[in-house]
Amino acid sequence: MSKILGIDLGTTNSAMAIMEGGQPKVIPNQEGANTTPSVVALGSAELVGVPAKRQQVVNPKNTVFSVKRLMGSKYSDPEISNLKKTMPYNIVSGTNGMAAIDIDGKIFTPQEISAKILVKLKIDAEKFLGHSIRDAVITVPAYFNDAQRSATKEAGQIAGFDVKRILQKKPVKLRALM
Amino acid sequence: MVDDEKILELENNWKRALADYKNLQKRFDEEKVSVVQFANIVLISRLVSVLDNLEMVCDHIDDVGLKLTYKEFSQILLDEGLTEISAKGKQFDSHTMEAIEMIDGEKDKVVEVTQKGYMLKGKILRPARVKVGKVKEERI
Repeated sequence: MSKILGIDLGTTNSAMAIMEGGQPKVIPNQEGANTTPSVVALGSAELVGVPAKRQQVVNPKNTVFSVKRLMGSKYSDPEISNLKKTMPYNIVSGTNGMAAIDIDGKIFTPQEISAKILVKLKIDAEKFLGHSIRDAVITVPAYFNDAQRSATKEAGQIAGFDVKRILQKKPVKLRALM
Repeated sequence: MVDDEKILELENNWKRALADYKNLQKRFDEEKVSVVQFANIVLISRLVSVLDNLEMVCDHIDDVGLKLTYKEFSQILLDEGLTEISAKGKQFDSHTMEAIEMIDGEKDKVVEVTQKGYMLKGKILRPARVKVGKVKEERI
């Protein structure tokens, strides 16, 4: 019987959990930590999590962090204009005027970047549990609108998950659904 | 009389509990091996900062007793499986090093190590904190 993976796809860090014996259990990543930095480095080498965070200083333009803040947002949104001023990576206008990220001339959607984090979590969880995982529930903040929730679901699907539910973080009801 | 739906629910719960138990048993065995192998990891990771301090003191105070103590202390940690991450002059590797600054020097090579990194039996205990080289910007 396959487990459903509960994922907290965070702005700074992400975490995952399963239900075991009726109790939630947080799964450590490959590095042995309960949380994985939501950082992705692209370019010559693709890195996710701790290694990506460690090289942020030497590769700022190709290191994407806080991508959750771009999820489901239009490039013209005032918040994106503010982010453009502070983020070292290049935020551009993508398909349908949505915010996207330009890495060495290649355009990535925030969903695609988030999917890379989710893929790492999936691989680490599968390694820990010893079997493949397909189903997931992903949490989003309570303030996320429909477009942002839909983008989060799309990220899960790109990562190869069958996203059973997108849950509002407040209150988190992972337990009831797994 | 118990209906079929109830039987199915109980059977599913039983199968789930059995699968959970098997997984738990497997993980428990793995963790047992890991605990034996890395039993001292917390203690050693705390002792590493003492090693740093002792090394710094040795650099500033020329004392035979102090140097002997440092040597003995580092040997004990070495015997426990602690190895230093060789970083200076090497290509920057984010799996074992953490970049804190970019300074003039050979591109992507470690120019300076600000804090030594250590591994314990092949596992990263602490990444080396380094300054990485970048091509010098010409000022007009």
